[in-house]
Amino acid sequence: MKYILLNDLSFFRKKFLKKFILYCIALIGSFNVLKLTNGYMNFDIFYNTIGINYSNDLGSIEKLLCIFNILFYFYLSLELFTKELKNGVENIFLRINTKKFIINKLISISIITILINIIIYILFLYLFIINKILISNILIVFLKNIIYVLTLQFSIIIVYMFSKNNKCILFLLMLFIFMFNNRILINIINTKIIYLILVLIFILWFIVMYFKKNYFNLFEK
Amino acid sequence: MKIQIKNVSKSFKKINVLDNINLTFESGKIYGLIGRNGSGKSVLLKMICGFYTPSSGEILFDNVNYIKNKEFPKNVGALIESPSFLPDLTGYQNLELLASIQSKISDNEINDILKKVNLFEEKNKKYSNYSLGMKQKLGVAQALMEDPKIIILDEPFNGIENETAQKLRNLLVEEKKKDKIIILASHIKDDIINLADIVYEFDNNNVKKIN
Repeated sequence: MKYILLNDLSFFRKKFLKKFILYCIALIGSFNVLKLTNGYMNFDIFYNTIGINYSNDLGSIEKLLCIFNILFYFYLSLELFTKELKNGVENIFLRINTKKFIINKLISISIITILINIIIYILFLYLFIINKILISNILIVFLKNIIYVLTLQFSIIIVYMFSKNNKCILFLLMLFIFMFNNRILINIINTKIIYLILVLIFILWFIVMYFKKNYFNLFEK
Repeated sequence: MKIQIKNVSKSFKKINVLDNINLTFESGKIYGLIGRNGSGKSVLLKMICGFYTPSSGEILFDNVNYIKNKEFPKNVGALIESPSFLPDLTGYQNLELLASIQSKISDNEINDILKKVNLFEEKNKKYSNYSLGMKQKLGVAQALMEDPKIIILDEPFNGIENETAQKLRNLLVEEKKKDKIIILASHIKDDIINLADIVYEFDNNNVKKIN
């Protein structure tokens, strides 16, 4: 666990930190645009900015933000997941079994995702505090948000693993997201946390089982 | 211990890299694989390690087919292509971290292997400050440190100065005496030819024994 987590954190710091800072700047910029458009500041604007308050009534900026957030987490999880599969495979895979690797990898991705979300929430909560806006129910939204983002990230890992057998699957998925985005983008605020947890558990189980049986496809170029 | 490569072929996107290869590697010997870049040496090494699956044929370790069992082979130390380590950690910390995965060796044993590959003096330097040769030595050290029964090294002398290369050759001879299987691959014939007991040349998807 220690090796995989330190490796991922080092990768994040060296290769992803600038992208994360740009992502935060884009979120704050979008938040301010939405604030000016609406003429007030409340938590709905924050939820729209981080893409968890989807509904068909939303404007195009909010819908684009939903897609933007999803793509950011897709990119992060794929970069973290494929890292060991591309370089220095002998360092890790000759020392650890595939089940242990994938479980540790998923935990490591989860830890980094939680850290990222903590930073984003602190950043926005600070904006609310200096504007003297009352904060309520934020913890449950944070938990739902984390589960949702992890579900998205692990789903794209499944698609990536499938795509190693059939390259067009990744392209089809992207097409699917853009054409039928309201089936992927859900309103997290109004979804019961238990449903989100159940979906996440199923996806985790599926990844571990699939990786154990099909890991060798992932090494081949 | 014996590794048998039986009727193994490998192709990528319909391009045949290895065609019906039959080889046997036995304990107590150093095997050299030579051939130009792209001749299939690294592909064979990756198949032995379980990173690539043969398009046809099988690879057996004492009659166990790990690939069929969806496992990586046990007791293998390898360096294939370029070494990869955490840039912010020192050479020693990188080995310590890798050793923590299996917890089979002590700090003293890590220091010993660093001495054997002539990297002890630089063990507290950050990996990002290492030269190409130092990175290669650390890669060899990670392959050897847990005393594996099978040692697989692809281009092990890349960027390594003559004095250390000779020390590494002596080290590999010592490892051979411990009844290990050692497989070395290089595109430079002279790197291998005087060290290996048996040399195979890779060319045109085929392999032939040359001594």
